[in-house]
Amino acid sequence: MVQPIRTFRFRRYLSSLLTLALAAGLALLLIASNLSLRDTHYATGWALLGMILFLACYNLRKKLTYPPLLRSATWLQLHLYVAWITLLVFAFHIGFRIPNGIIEVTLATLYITTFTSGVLGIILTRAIPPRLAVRGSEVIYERIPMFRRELRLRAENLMIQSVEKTNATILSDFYTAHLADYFARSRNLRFHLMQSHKPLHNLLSKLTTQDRYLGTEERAIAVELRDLIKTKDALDYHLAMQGILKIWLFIHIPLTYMLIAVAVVHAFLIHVFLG
Amino acid sequence: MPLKIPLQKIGHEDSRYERPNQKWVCGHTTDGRPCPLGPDAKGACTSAAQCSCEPLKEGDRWQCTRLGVYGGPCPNGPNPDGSCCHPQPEFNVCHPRLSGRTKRTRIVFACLAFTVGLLTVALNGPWTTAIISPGQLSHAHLAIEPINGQSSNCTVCHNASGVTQSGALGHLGIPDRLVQSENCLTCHFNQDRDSALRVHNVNIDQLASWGKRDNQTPQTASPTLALVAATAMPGIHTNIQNDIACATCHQEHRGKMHNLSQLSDTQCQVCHTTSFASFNDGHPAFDLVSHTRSGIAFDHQKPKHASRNCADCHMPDTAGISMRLKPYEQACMGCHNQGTEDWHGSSLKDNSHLVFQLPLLEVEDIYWPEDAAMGEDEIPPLMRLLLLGDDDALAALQSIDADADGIPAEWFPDEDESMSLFTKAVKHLLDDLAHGDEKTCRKRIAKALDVAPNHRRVTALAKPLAAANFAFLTYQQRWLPLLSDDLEGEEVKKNETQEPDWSYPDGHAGWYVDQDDIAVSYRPIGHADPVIKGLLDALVESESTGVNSAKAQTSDATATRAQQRSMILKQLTDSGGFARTACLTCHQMEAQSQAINWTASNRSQAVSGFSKFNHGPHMTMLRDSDNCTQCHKQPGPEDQTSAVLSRCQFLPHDKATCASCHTPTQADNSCLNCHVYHHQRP
Repeated sequence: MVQPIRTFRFRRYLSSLLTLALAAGLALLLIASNLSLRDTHYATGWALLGMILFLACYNLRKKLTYPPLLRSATWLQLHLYVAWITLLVFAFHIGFRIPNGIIEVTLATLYITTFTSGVLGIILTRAIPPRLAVRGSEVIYERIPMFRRELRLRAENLMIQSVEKTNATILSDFYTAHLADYFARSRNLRFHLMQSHKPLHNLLSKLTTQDRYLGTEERAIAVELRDLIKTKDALDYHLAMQGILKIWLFIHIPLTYMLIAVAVVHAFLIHVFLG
Repeated sequence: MPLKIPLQKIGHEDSRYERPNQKWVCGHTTDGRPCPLGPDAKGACTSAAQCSCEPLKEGDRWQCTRLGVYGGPCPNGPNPDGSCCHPQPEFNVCHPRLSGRTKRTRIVFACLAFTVGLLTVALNGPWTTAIISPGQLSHAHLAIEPINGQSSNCTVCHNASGVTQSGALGHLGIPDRLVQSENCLTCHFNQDRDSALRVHNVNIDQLASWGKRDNQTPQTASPTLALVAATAMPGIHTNIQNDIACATCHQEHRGKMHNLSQLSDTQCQVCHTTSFASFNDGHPAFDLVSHTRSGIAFDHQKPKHASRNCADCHMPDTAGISMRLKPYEQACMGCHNQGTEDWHGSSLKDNSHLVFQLPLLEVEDIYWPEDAAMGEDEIPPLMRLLLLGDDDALAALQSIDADADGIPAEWFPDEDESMSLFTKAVKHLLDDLAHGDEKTCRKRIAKALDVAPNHRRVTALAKPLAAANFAFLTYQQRWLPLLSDDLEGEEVKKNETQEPDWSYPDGHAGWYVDQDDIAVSYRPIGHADPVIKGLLDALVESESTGVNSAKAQTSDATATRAQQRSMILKQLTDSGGFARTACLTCHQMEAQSQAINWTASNRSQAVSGFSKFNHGPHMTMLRDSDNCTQCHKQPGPEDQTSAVLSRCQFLPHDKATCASCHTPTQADNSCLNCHVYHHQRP
């Protein structure tokens, strides 16, 4: 029996369609409730808080190894589509207007910031991996310092060999002047975030200008050095882009818990004063 | 560009196992030389332990068993006794660092603690009210808004006592807006609280009858999907049995400029399902005259009235919204002057209200001058009311034969004792009025009305009565000169009177002794006479509160007085009664509540129930050649018999006139442009 092939795109279309259908049904229900003068604030408020708690549970689920509550990938899909539903419920909850109270404004700002950071995160997690894929093999973020050290050692050894073999210090002088710091630490992160190759081209151009002063052996070493420079540049690119992938969670997750704290107080106040 | 130099090596010895979920990482990670095992769970460096081994004895030699990832067997090998030599660690001792995940967790806790702290401070201080307030109140309720330095006013509308006080938790629960609505009624709907939370503020029977009327005339409509869904939902207001909380529509805390009464057309159509698409499409013709009902009965068709200009009697109010009647002095008195061509007639007597007169009784051995007892009819209303303030008089009034048909001679057919009681009570009344002061009058009237002596209705009657003691004194001195001796129990001659050597006012307003009828009478001093108005208001108010508090009547005497007051009101307002002739011809009485419309417009209730109209913008649209009859059309000869004429003798408004401007594009044609939800003004 041939199993149907469900591609990522097909799954995305299907999930989006289901989410849209659910959102349309929910919107119809809320509009109808508002038309019939039903108070939807209470229901939408609790639904929103419930959904936000569910979304926050994804972070906890990733830390849990047991019990096996669905796969993390499934949680991520639910996280994404439920988050879009919260936007609809949030819009109905605030009545499509800017709130007035201090706590309400704070709460709305926290929600919008959290939601926006989430959307930004989705965009980043969708956009960055393909870019990383074309810039070399997979590099584990935690091992980048180790690889950087390895590259530095290889470059330094190359320079020692160069001096020993050719008795010339042109390349080693160049290394000392332009490459020692380049290999010692991560460089040009700002340019990598802007997807710019300018620093790399500058460095390689400088190395190329040394060609006229190099002998045959030195030129062969220079070719190896050029490869090391490119590899280090790719490593820095990985560091910058993977760093972004990790840093957005430093915004999204704290905001989520701040949102939950203020939302709980908001719900408490509603129960105290409504009625 | 792909890497020419592969960085990631594959192999169990080359590819280390990363543990990003661990709390601590090796301090040499940033140098690119992390130890393989990393720190322990408490963040202590384990490099020394990693370099140790458990030596293995092979033959007679001990072999080092250190793993390759830790540098392999050490050069020195184990000690002779087989213990590890603890070589110099391959990896220098480090200061372990927090992992990225742990840093993130700590940031989360820091942010959470910051938020909770901030909320704690926010909810415990003089600024709490300002912080927890969900927004500024609308214009209408700004007076409730707490001002800087003042305590919270939240409890005016909310039952909670505030989060900073101990009672807050007691209010936790499922919110019930109907409970909160009770607080709204503290200020609103003071006239009729029973139906305040009903749909459209009307009772169920009346609403049901309107519903039937609506269903009988189904119109074309093009409902949206949302409207269909809303109609299908078991709505809170579609069931007319339900009460509706004020906050259902009136959403507060949305800013000073928020429109509290905003409703969409579709929201109206959820209930009014069989209505129509819009004002221009299917709205029924106006079968009622939709202007505000006037409290004054006025026949615009009467020739003398029809010849006047509209502006002679009407003027816009200060806001320009409605047209008001000018005051009596400006609009009516020019023709209806007191004593000339008014409803009261032209003579002093015809305008007078009989106040005190001795009934013509067949008495024996009682000081009751026969030539002065001219009352051949009912007891005058005000006199009867004053008698209610005397328990003896009340008993005597009760014993009056119901079949006597108002003829005094037949009031007490058999009971001499009752007649004696009655005559004595009447004489006591005269004595009180002639010799008593305001306090005496106040006490008697208060008892008669079953209210406190300082009640405003008592004051309205007691003050003028006390001031009129000269008329009663004159009457007493002329017709009952020995009243004091009689009341003190001395024997006096039955018919002893004095010669009429006194004069009485002729043609003047106010209290006077009527020599023809031998009575004390009162002629209203002008329009809105305080005595007559005070008497009617006291009786009407007593009637309405008496009905409501019937169960609360604690004694038979109270019930009897209530019955007697109803009788007095009926006597005054029935056909031929003084009030009917003098007041109620123009100031009409409400059939149900019996309230008298003293003012021209009763703004609490419109005749059409749910309509409103702003004259201002419409009057600015009038051209020079136009006038009020552009909309307020008077009937022609063919319309005189039409049943659709209003009581002011105008034809219903023509919908086409309104619809010519009120289109979706030219002028607002929404429901709330002309209609109001509340049948009773809140």
